[in-house]
Amino acid sequence: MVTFYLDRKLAVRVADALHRRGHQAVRTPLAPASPDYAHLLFAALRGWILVTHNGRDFKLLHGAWQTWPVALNVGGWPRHAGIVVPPQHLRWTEERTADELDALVASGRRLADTLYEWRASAGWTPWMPP
Amino acid sequence: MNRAELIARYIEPDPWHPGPADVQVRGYGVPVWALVGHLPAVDYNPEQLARAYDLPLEAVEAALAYYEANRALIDGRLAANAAEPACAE
Repeated sequence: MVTFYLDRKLAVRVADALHRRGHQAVRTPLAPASPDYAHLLFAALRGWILVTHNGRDFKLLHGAWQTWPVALNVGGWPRHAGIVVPPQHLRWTEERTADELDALVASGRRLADTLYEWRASAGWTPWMPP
Repeated sequence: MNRAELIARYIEPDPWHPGPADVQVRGYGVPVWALVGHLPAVDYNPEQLARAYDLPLEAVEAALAYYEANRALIDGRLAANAAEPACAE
């Protein structure tokens, strides 16, 4: 079983919908003023999959998480458990969002150290730093 | 409370993302753009939006008033998150 960590960009009710599908889901307990990097660290240290609508800023953080330890030769750098960015422009309800997150996990695709975004033509697609 | 008062009461800058496109609901840390982005999913119903995010209805009304006054900014911020240009599924 995986645990989804929802930041404040996600509707609270997505957590309820994930619970109904048998998943653990936690809406962030961090203070409202917490920065995005604190959310990623909090989720990564617990092995939780971070879910956010903030693709712009989490792509930047994901890129740093991936590239800095290699460039700086830092051994033992932890993986994050995955970042998933559900789209907003497709009018997904909380139930649809939970369905698609459930399907991504059920697919068995690698989530660790990967950021997934949704493409209309291909569904969940790993994002790679340019 | 008029629109300006509503915005002043509930909307504040995000200290980590300064700028008018990233303002958030005071005390809750929910960006206006995230609420606006979810609005179609609740059939543009402010009450449903408030329930979905567990926010006071007045705070949602403030966010929507801010959006009305800054539509292009918020739309641009939403577009920056998207994997591809907005289109029907």
